Amino acid sequence: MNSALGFAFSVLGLSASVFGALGGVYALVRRTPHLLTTIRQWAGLVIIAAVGCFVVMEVALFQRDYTVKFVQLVGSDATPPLFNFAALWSALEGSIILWTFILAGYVGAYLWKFRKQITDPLHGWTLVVLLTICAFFFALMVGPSNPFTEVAVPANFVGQGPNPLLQNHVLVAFHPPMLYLGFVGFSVPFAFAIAALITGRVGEGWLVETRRWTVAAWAFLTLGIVLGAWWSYEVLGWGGYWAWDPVENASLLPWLTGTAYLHSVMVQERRGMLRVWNLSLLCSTFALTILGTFLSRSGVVDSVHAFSEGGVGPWMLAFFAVVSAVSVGLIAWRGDRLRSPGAIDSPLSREASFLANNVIFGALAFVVLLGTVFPLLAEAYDDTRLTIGRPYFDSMARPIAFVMLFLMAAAPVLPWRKASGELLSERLFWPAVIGVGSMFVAIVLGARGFYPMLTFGLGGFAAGAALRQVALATRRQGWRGFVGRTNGGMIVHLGVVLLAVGVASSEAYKTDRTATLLPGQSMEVAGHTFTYDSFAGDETSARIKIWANVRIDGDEVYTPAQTRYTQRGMIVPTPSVKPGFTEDLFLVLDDAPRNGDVTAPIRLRVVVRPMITWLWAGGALMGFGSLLAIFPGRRRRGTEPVSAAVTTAAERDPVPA
Amino acid sequence: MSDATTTAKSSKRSLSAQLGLWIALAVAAVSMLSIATFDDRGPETTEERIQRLSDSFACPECDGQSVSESNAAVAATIRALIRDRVAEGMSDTEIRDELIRGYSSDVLLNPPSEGISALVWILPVVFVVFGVGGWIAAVRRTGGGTRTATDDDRQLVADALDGGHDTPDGGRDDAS
Amino acid sequence: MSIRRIALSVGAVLTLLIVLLAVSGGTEDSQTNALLGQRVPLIQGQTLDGQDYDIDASRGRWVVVNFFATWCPPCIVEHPELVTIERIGAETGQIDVVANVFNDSPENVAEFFADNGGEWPVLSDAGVAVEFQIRRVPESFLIDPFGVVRAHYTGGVTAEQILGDIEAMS
Repeated sequence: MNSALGFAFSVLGLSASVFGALGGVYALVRRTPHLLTTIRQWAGLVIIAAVGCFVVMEVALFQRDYTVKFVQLVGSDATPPLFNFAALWSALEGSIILWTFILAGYVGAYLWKFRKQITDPLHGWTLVVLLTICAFFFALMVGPSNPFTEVAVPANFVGQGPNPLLQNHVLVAFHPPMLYLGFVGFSVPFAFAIAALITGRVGEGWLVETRRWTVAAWAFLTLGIVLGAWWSYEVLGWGGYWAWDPVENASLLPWLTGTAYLHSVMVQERRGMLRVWNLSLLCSTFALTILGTFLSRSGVVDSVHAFSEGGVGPWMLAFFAVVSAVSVGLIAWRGDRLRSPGAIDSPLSREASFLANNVIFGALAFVVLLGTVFPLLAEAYDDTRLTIGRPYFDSMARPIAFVMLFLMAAAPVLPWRKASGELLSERLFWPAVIGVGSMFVAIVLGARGFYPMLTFGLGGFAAGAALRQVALATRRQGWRGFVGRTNGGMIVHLGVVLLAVGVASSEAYKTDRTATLLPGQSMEVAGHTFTYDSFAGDETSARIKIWANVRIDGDEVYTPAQTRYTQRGMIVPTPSVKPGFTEDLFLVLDDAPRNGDVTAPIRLRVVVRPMITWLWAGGALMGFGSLLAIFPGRRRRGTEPVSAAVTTAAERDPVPA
Repeated sequence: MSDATTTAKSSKRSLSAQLGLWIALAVAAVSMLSIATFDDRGPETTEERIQRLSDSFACPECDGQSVSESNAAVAATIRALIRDRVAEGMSDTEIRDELIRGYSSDVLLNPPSEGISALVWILPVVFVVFGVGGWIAAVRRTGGGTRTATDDDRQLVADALDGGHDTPDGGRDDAS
Repeated sequence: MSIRRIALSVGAVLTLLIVLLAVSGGTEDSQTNALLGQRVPLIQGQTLDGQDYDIDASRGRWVVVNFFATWCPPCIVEHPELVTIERIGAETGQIDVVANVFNDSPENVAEFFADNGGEWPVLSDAGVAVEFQIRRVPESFLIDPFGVVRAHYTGGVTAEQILGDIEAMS
């Protein structure tokens, strides 16, 4: 029943998106606006189909309907409701349902937002592109990765449940949907960009229309990545949070190009420059989400995250090829219309600093992409097998990150067009004092080491510049000084500074010790005493959990655990973390007595990471800042003639000091 | 306020006084960075050396995790080997060579800088050189100031003003 | 440079990338051990019982080199098979068995042998495991009387398999 219904919804979705897209193209080419309005009905059907697929699969999971292939794969009688709900995205087929569901949600939001302008060819083409993307994902669900396939149920089948790592922590319910909201969210600005190229309306109007969509997608992606790092820290038990794993890199790549876009788009809005560049950034952001999905979901790279091979690899690669070909082709075709009307007057200007930002974000994206795909390319080229891991990425990303922090300090104080040395000296003075002050405080508190100190200094400098902007804006506009793109952006910058300080301290001053302890014995790590008190266990039908009671500094008891999931026979360590403002104490039960022997020794690993909570706080602040940036500081119409007003803008636009 | 007032305000503090303040800040920054660098912990301890070596090798069985991070048996074995060899007084290169002899060069998390994998180190530098070159070319291009509005631009302004309800003012929300 | 030309070169680079990614997909992990056909690496040192061991002393006889751990279920399964090989080897005087521990404690190993039998020398040398490129136990190697590595077994051995291979190669 669920199988048939789910498959019917997939077929409905595929046909509705194909007919909608084809009908839209016909109407647009024939210039028949009344025909174009039918695209709304097609899109409505697509939304119904996507919601249908999602609901049917969730219902099947909760009914334990093992005749559905996907439920047999990830469902089980014993999975608790929250993880049963999240089981939808615990394997490849289901995550495609989630992807399609979210994409349909964006299509719905789009239709509602622009419901009055639907006959405008720009919006018509955007919908055609969106429906084409929908068609691709529905095709995956109908064809190579059909989750609704009906299968026979073996006798006494109770199911394995999702991968133990994915039913171990509540963050699993939030990290993947957040990430997908980000990934999929970039479809809308991408569709706009393609529509603008097709219609030839490459002016700035469409940019303003998509700005909030892009900021929203970016914010979701940011939160998704930080939540993923947090999940990795809380669940995986290796003591870290970011491993430069191919799947992590795949999520970082669109984030980097998206961040570059959010900055350089301001140059286009204000000065009408960088048109080709911005379109390319949008197109590559979307293409990189597809490439990332290909890399992580096709089994071509080894990764702890990668789902097992699902047969969608060639489809994803083909889709990436189509996206690239269409983007590059259209940009080549419209190249002449995209000629920039302006030029940058001075290296000491806002626009020059945004361009520098783009160079540096581009460089980091290039390094991450190169490091991720190079082992594949080398193997395809001459069978060389090599690993590119953390030391490579760390040593490449570190100098780039320092330049980013420096730009975050300098760029916000720069005016558009041109700045004088005196102006810079005036505006940068207090941020620089804050930077030097942070270094002084760090030295007094006993911090040493070149890299962390440079991070504290540049971080303080950047934070000073951001605070300066917010302070000036609130003095002038009251609470409105916190909202709007620039002010919200400064809050995001503060989040980045917190994150950078958290990364630098938690890496540089980390202590990692392992010891074998008998009951009653203690170990000393970074000034704390860890005493192994006793050993305990607990058994349910789904899992056997054992844990050690470890007393920290003779006070609270923490319980690093190991859980054996009986259905999958897999042992998952569950770290126990004592978080703190200045440091986290992270306990992992590396080795536990095998036969429940309470007198046997355990092997306990303790990792002390200073200030790692700053990293999570920084991520949260980045999300909050994006929200402020989305809230309109002031109403503004999409048709505002921003590019034409260049010469008067300098006079009309006061530069506050 | 306009550029003129800004200049007026900043000239309250004389140029040489400003320069002095900046030099003082720079001296403070450099001296604190050097304290941080040279007053660092003493020479590397054996434990730190073992940690550094374990960080630099990939666990052969576990998808790019380092030997120090992984719980796999082979990672534990390599950690034990590193500990043994360090105790025997072997150099980093000797330990590295021994592991490469066993598990081939994909045991290195840092790709080697010879052969085809040298590209991994060279290409980013090429990218940055081109990027910085492009940036310099872009900011040195002149002529922005002499440009005049085109008819299209005027039309755009006219249309916008005709149909406009709120006055465009250049967008205060992205002023600095 | 015109925008069109830049777009074309970007397109060319992307095409190359896509082609390379398309051909690189699905390569199998080639797990062939590089020692096959080579002279056996040196295995020398103290056994867990405190005896001296040197694999070169077994020259002239076949040697089964076994890597194991007591926490590994297939190792427990294959242990009686190794006991059989040792017994037959001792009877004929033609086969020796030697084992090297993979990430396990001497106490566990002593207990394991006390419970399950077996008299062969056991070393615990991480360097030997690395030299034999051990990734996950159990793995075994068959060394011929001239000291050349002739066969590599993963996931457990049986006496029948080893004795059959020795017969075929003799």
